[in-house]
Amino acid sequence: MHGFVRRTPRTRTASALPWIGAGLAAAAVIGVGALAISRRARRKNAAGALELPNGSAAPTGDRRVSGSVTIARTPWEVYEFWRDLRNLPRFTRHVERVTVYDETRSHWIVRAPAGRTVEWDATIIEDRPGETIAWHTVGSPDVSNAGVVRFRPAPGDQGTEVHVTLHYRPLLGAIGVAIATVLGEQPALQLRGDLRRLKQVLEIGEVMQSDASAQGSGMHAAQPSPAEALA
Amino acid sequence: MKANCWMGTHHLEVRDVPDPRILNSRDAIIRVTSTAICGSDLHLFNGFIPSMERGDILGHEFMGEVVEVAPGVKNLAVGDRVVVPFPIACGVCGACKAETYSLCENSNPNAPLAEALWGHSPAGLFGYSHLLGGFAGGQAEYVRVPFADVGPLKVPEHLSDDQVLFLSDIFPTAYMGAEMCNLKGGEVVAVWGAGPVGQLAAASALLLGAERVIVIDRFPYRLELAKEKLGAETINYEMVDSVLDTLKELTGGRGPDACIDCVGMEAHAHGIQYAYDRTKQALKLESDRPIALRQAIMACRNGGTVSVVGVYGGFIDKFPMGAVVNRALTIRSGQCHVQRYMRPLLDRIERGEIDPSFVITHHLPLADAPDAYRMFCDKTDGCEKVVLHA
Repeated sequence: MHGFVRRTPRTRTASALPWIGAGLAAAAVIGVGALAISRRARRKNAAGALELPNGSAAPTGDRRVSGSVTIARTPWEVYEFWRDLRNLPRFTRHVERVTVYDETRSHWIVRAPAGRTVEWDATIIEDRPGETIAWHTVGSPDVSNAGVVRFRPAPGDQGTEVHVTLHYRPLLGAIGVAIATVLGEQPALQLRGDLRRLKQVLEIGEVMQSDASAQGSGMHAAQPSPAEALA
Repeated sequence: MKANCWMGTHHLEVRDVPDPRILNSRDAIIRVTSTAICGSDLHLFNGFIPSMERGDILGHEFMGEVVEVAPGVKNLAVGDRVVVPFPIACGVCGACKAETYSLCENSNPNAPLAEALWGHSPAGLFGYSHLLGGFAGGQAEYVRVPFADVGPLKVPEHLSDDQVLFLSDIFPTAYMGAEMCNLKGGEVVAVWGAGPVGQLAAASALLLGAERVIVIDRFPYRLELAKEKLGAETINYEMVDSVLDTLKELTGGRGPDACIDCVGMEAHAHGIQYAYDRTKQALKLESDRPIALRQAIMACRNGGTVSVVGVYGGFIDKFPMGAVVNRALTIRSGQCHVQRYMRPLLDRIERGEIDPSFVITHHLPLADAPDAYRMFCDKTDGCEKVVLHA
């Protein structure tokens, strides 16, 4: 990964800089996050490939990111919120819209650098109410990915542990190069940010904003912004 | 509006910035009437807290008048006079339910950054770096207050700003520092630092039953204040060969029953230890200078408690863990869960048990904030505590 990044022209890095700290959405991670196929990544995958709940193997040559959070809601409540995939843009930074076709199939639009978007169709491959949701992309999308989210009661009546694992096949081509360059090893951090926002939405009803965060991704001074600058 | 902005290490400017607006459904906007400079603000001024950005508005001790409330705030109305606690806390997460408000799980939008430095993230704080949320502070004419239905405390008109302002931070911080000592009555409590928190920690220890308090500092005017207002015994560490020997002498060889560190990461001392820590800090090999903390640990009597309310940001060296383990010391710490203490401490002020305004030495206009920081930092003009007025 690092060797790959270093070979990438610096101009790419500069043009994609606004993505740093942008809080790549879980779905964006699976979609367009970090994408170099390196020997190291392959080895890692061979050693610990994701066993998807239906027994099928995750796509080969992919990368894996996982994260978890505890939310003061019942497993059923958290499951129901996630199961309505139209809610994903409420807590993920880069999912622009999810259109639900039917019980299992959906269409995702995800923001990518330089004002572009990436789209794919996904299907839910396992759905255990209150326990597990697993999905993967269908067809031959630019970005092939799969994920599973599990909901477990937390000990001591503390609510629900949400465990997410995402696998994404590296995206080749110009977009993939740009994103890989910028993100480096950040996807896990981005996923944690998304899970924090999921917790906020379910516990306080909205995403928490500071004077700085309200101005959008990237670094901003902690002072109020003019109305037109609000994200 | 005017606001005191951090523009770099040792560089503050009172600048014109946009007025704050409602961003979340439980926000309020406060017109600030009084705001104080905290000792922990000096860590920002001196550049020891990471993740500051040019233009950040400082200030986490403030009070004022409610001028706007978001629809989710039912308990406050425009015109209410309130004191605002410095930790931002949602009131509904597990930490808030346990009344550990400075550990609120939902108030720091930059939690992943804090996790990278500290393992887990605490609550967001006003005016205290981007690691702790990137919230504009209250050294300004107006400030946005999130979760205004949880934090701000309405204060009665017959109490002045000076009497209640410190409910925002230093009085509860000091009180929690003393409370963590688990005093039963009759103890000797030693307090490192005769700044405003140290003064109020000594006062709180006496309120909670300590028989004697011993305050340690190097500024005679600060020690004099503790002696005069609190009846404290004092040690000027620059005037004695050994603070540890002096404390033993003052306690019949036992050591203080409890020790409170109200100094934190920028401690001073004479001699080799200070040079060691200052050098490592300058080289970024150590982020904090834990001189007071080491001394407190070494001084504390066997089985006693060391309570740490001075602010530390990162990592320290030469931590005397052997003393902690072999002498069965208890170390307690935390950013104050201010919301838990505001009401009971307001009651103590109303009953006349304490008037925390005794620490105030300067009232200045907000426009003078940069000079006031310099004065407070350099301990000139007998400065103990500065209150600014917009």
